[in-house]
Amino acid sequence: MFFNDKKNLFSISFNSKSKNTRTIFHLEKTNNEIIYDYIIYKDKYFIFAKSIYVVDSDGKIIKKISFPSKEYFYITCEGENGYHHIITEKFFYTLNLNNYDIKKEIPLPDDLKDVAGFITISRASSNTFWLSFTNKGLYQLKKDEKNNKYLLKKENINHLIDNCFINNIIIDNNKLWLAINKLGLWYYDPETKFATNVYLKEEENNSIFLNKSYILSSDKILYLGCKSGFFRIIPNKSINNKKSNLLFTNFSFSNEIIDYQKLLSLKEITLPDGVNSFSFQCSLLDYNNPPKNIYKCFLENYDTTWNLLGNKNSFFYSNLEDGKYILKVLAINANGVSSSDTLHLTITIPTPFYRSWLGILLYLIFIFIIVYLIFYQKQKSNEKKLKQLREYSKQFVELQEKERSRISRELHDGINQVLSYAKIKLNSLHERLEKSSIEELEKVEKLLDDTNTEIRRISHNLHPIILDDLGLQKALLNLIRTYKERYNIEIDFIYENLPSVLPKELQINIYRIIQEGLNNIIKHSKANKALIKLGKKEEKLSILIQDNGIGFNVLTNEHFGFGLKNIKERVNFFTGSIRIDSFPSKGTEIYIEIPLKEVENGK
Amino acid sequence: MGNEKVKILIADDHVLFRESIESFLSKKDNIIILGTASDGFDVIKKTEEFKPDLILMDIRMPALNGINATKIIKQKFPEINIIIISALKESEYIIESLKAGAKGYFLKDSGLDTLVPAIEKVMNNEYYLDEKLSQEIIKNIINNQ
Repeated sequence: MFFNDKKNLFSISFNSKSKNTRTIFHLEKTNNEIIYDYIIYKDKYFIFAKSIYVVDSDGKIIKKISFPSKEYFYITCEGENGYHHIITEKFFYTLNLNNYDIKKEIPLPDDLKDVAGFITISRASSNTFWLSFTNKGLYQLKKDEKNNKYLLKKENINHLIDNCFINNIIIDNNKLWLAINKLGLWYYDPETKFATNVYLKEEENNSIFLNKSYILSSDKILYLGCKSGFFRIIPNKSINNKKSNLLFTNFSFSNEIIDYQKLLSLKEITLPDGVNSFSFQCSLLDYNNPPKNIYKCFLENYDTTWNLLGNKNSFFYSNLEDGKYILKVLAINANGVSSSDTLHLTITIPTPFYRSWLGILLYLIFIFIIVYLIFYQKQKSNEKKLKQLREYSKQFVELQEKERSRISRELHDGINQVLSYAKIKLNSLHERLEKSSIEELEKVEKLLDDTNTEIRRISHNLHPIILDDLGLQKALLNLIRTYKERYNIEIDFIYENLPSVLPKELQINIYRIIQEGLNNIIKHSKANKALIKLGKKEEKLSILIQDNGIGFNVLTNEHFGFGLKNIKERVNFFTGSIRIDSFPSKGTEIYIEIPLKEVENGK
Repeated sequence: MGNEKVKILIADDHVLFRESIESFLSKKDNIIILGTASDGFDVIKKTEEFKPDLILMDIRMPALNGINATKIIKQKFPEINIIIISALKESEYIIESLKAGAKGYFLKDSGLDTLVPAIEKVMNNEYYLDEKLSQEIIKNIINNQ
């Protein structure tokens, strides 16, 4: 036994069997050092503190062995043939107890290095060790005989144990007893990878186990030390070594259930299209203590670790990707004896139609058609709207023209006629009046003349009645003449090949287009020459309005604004086309084409 | 003009004009008013019926305007003289009227006094044009060159 006295000295008291005497060592040189472990070998004492001290039976330090690296914590494990093993937080060492040679075997992997806390190590055979690190579960350390190197490998048991520190690893032949704080005692078979919780009493199950505090007696009784005392377990007594059969009792997917009879011979199954979930039930034919049979399963290509089902004998998988899976099921009876075989069932989940090439292709075609239809519909409805809008606009302008024409006629044929008549009447007074009165009369006559002219002007602006009386050509002739007289500009007018009768509404619109064109020329172009040409080409009426003025930039100039917009709008009424060519200082050309057939058909 | 009286048909949709011209002319010794018409078709019908020597024709009439009526009448009865009486002064009207076969163009707002000389002139196989219109015609000739 070791103890740490209050003077910060470390002492060993040892009861020698042979001499039956009590020896006390005072290791003054080891002040403030924690003693982790000690062993006795060939009458020498190996004390594992910050360094390793070799002490003879008189308490004299024969040798002080320092670690090659700086280490603070370690634990030791007895080896074979005069070797002893030491594991620190950094390395695994082998110590030759005969010549005190210390050898670095392997470094610990990164995720274990510098783990603050505890390490446990137990030797299972001459070259196999079982270890545990704080919160890291169980590890196997095995010497590869071929290259004489040690290999450290994590032993995945289950999610509980894998994240725990195992206080004591007790080797029982090829199986392990794992004493884990709060999880109690587990029996683990590394061969089947199956761990069984040994059902202890509740208070024992919650006990805090003491490190290295166990004895497995030769008659296979396990004594375990814990904070609340120690307890005695007779493990083998209840373990039945007979292996039982494990079989599927039920396998179901969607609404289908495959029964036990069929399952006996079933090795492979393909789930129907669209089904990606299944459940199964199995049974271990061990009737010693059936409720305590434990099951675990593993779905190859899906699971990364075995699923511990515990006492439940059914499980389900859902939302699996398409592919091939192998379901493996293992069971262990209440005594920790595994089933005779691992159950295997190959399960194929077919690629659903919507993910097959044909499915994807059809899907894409479908989307394409939908998108196309939407676009087509939209375009069609837009066209319809546009057409409607154009129709409204046309109707509005027609109505406007009609109304203006009506007012114009009223003015011209009504009021002006009356004024003319009044003048005639006044005229007839000439003979009957005296000279002085005649002057007054003439003033009135002049007034009537002016009024007449003014009304005629207004009337003409509202609607060119000449268009109704003499037709388009004469009306345009009149229009152009007016511009020539008024603005001193040379305008050539060509009117050829046009049908003698054009629809009234087309006539007025052509008249307005040319009027607007002339207005633009007068207002903006500064031209002194212009050409208005109307003709017919391939069932299309063509209008050319040309000037030699300053022109404008078609893209940027908003000069023409309303006038040009008005022209465009009127051309649109008859689904005509318009082209405007203009360059600064090179003049402007407006070319319009209106399909005549459509105009006639539209009538 | 000889001793025979000139037989005249008056066509105007405006009742005031029709009546005032009718009452004015009917006072003249050498003139007989055969009748009046109020639209283009009416005047054609009455021309066939009355066979006038001269028609005083308004341009703006319902259904068929005076210029078109003139064309039709002149085709059928080339011997009948036609004087346009109108308030329209645009040279296009004048030219169209003359092309259609009218022999004179009389402005409505000129005094009726000048109507009798106009009738005489036309019946004498001459053209008559209201004085005020010569300006229009000259402008037109210049500008249409």
